[in-house]
Amino acid sequence: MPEAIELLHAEVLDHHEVAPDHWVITLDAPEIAAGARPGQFVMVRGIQGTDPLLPRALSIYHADVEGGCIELLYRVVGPGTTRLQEHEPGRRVAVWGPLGSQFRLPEGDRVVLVGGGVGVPPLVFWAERLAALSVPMEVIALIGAQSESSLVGIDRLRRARANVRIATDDGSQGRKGYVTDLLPQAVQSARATIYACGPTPMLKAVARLGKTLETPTELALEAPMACGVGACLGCTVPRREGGFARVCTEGPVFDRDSIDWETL
Amino acid sequence: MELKQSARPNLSVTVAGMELKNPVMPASGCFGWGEEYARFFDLTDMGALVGKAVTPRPRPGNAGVRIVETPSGMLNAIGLQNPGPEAFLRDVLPRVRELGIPVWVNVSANALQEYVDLCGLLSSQPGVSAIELNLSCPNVGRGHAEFCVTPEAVMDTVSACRPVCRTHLIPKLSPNTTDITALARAAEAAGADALSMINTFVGMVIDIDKRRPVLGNRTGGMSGPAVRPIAVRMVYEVAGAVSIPIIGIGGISTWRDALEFLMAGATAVQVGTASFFNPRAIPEVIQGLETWMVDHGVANIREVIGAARVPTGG
Ligand SMILES: Cc1cc2nc3c(=O)[nH]c(=O)nc-3n(C[C@H](O)[C@H](O)[C@H](O)COP(=O)(O)OP(=O)(O)OC[C@H]3O[C@@H](n4cnc5c(N)ncnc54)[C@H](O)[C@@H]3O)c2cc1C
Ligand SMILES: Cc1cc2nc3c(=O)[nH]c(=O)nc-3n(C[C@H](O)[C@H](O)[C@H](O)COP(=O)(O)O)c2cc1C
Ligand code: FES
Repeated sequence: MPEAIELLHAEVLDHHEVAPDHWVITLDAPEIAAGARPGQFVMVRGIQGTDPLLPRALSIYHADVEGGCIELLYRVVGPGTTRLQEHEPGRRVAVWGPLGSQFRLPEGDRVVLVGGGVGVPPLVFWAERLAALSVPMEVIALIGAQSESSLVGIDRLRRARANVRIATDDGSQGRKGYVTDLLPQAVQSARATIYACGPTPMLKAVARLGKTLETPTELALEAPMACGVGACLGCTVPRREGGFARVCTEGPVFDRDSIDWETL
Repeated sequence: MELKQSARPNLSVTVAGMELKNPVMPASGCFGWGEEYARFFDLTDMGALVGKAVTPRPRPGNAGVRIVETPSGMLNAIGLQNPGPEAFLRDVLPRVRELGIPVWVNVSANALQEYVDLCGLLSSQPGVSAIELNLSCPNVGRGHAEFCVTPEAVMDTVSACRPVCRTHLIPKLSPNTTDITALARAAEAAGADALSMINTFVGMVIDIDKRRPVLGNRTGGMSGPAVRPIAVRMVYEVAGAVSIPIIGIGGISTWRDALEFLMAGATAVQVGTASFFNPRAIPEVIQGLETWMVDHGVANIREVIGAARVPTGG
């Protein structure tokens, strides 16, 4: 039997800007918080109105099981996120989840997280959960952004005892260049597992490097979504073995080898 | 005589001899085969289950971007992704017929003989209550952009399927035509038991940065609240042109929308895109209709079917 998905009209408990155009929204959603696993996402939408029409997918940034709430971190890029941003504490949004696949536990003792832009939220949640495990694990987080002003989640990663290394397009913080430039060194001389989330070009580069470096790699993909639950078949990506996989149900977290990166 | 206040209103309708406990069901392709939505509500609350299209052979679906949002609507170019009839009969039908509600199978094909063969095969399976003939797959046939946008093509296809179809035959009409009543009359004359209407409107969205259509398929089918007034108008027109029942489809997301279609002359309705943005849209429509009936002293939903129809010239 499939696990239940909660559909809630959740109260906004807190909503604040963490960087220009980047917001963290806290929702009162005990059932979702209890079931949430790193890599999973929720669908969010205003309760009223038909424009924008479709819900938007946002990764779970933090789940507070005791407190019964979840946090989402998003960047305002278009009508859906603009509408969400208008929801002040006390108002409600429609939200359903937790949805999709989760990151699987690493085999070795080093974890390398690779995040670009708003791909960072699920990696922060993963770092927090890994830090709570009893097994000692070295966590290196490679974080890329356009510039210093759009770096998010860094403090949370450090609090989760991750060794954070930064790359920015304009060199305003950390190394100037792509976050993937930092990857070969990070996986060196250890049994590492790579977990990545970010823009598709970045994921393609990580998948290629993961293969070259012979390192197990899991990647959280994005795709335009209508339903988020597997019904519309709108969110598909090409499978290596042929046919398509739904990002919302078989994903968003995929093993490197299951995706046909050439045609994606 | 005093009205019994406590009596529950009667939502049941009959579509071509088929009893539905209420007039609300999902639209094909917008509900999988129900498994995803079984996590949100009890599927047996629905009037019927309508699954996604089955085609003669498995289809992987279209590459590239498949959906894009439009003002109060969306375009889709899924490409009829489905595992084909064998997998349907093996993996899906045994499960869904256990639900105990009527199961309608949506059938799509590219050529006349394929429609006939598939219709024959699927209509003879126990547990299939109706074949919904998807006459608007955007594909070949007579060199049209769409298969059945002329009365002649509708007539040919429905006439060919009628003799082999061992259950109710419900053609689903395309709105991408000049006069939908002509398509409806052709379907009725060819022996259709009822009509589903409408399918999606062909549309396009351009990515102005890339200077290319957004969808991998370039065009897609438009659905959602934005199309509702056109769909209501089409149902209204067709209800005046044929005497077989109509299943109204297009932009229904609330009980109010459903009532509009019923009042225009539809006997039942399908909820499509709305399930995507509200997974509980279908049970909310059913519940809303029931509440409205109680509030307005309507004992039987059949009383409202066609209620908005006015005589010609009115
Ligand atoms: C599983 C999943 C998890 C996600 N997690 C987060 C998250 O934690 N934080 C966050 O800020 N965003 C996340 N996103 C992306 C987020 O869903 C989109 O930014 C959002 O839908 C944009 O909606 P909009 O109406 O504001 O902008 P739109 O007008 O829809 O889009 C604005 C721009 O963003 C692009 N875009 C829109 N949707 C996507 C998408 N799904 N993938 C890639 N590009 C897109 C468009 O092409 C356009 O250029 C996630 C997406 C998925 C599929
Ligand atoms: C993603 C998607 C897939 C669809 N797939 C099918 C299909 O396989 N067969 C079919 O007859 N109609 C299909 N349709 C059309 C719907 O069944 C319905 O006729 C149309 O969307 C209008 O209703 P709505 O506005 O309530 O969505 C599809 C629609 C959407 C949005
Ligand atoms: S978003 Fe609908 S199937 Fe994935």
